[in-house]
Amino acid sequence: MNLLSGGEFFLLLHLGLGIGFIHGFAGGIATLVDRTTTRLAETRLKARVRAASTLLMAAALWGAVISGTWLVYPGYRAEPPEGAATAAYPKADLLANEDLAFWHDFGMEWKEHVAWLTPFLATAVAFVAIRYGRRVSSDKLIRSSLIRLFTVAALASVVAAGLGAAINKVAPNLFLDL
Amino acid sequence: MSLIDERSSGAPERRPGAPPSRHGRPAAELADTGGSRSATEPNGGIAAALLAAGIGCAAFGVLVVLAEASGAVKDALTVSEGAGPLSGKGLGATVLWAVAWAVLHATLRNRELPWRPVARTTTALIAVGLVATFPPVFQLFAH
Repeated sequence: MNLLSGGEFFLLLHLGLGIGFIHGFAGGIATLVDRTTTRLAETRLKARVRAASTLLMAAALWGAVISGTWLVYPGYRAEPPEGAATAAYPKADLLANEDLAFWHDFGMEWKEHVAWLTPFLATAVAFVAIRYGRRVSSDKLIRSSLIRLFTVAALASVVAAGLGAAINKVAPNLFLDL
Repeated sequence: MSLIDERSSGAPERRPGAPPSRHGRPAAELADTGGSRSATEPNGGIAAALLAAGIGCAAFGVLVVLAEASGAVKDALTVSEGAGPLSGKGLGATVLWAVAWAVLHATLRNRELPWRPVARTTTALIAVGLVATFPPVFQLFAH
């Protein structure tokens, strides 16, 4: 018995990576911002949480852009056969309706592109947190730079995820009928 | 507003009340943890990672604009028929990012750099990526 089609599974995988993103961002930003700890053991723990969290967020974002681009996006942009109904072809269906074309021309175009910026930023933060953890712990300015990169990556991810959710609501998506 | 704090990052911060060590750095810093490397490790490797991230963002943005402006570029970037030119934009930017990072890391890792130029350059590169991937901007170049 097939509970999910291939496309549905890929979309579920893509959405599931959001869980890793949220946990990674929460742990990463909290340990980058917080400087109240002075006890050595707590600092060690915090540095480990910071390294693990930033790595998790970077991995989740790479997974999201790779699965989104090569597994989910082809289903979205597939062309319907000549004369076929567009109900199972989100991009074609959006573009066929003047009132909905905005969701592709602006929404999907922004989502698919801005999302690709995020793994570069998150990977830099993760690398620095892991490889230069001692310097990160002691250098406020470097920590401040990492916080800003991490936040830009998170905001861009939220834009991409929010637009994806909205487009899934507007465009025909059989997955949501399950 | 800059995305990156531009003040000089010449020395790690000193915690209030922490006595200076014989190396001129707070003792608490030397006892601090979080990395397996020396506390005096230069910031060049950190600068390389941040600059490379900016280069990856800018490269992706440039590829988005080029694909919009030229049908030939769009075709060349269509590595995967299913994903279209997005596949080539992502792969191209990733390769450029990785190469830039490797070169910058090899060049800068043993140097202590003033933070202001690093911060400004990284901010500018990220801004290029953010602006160039905003549809009303890159669609201005549609052929």
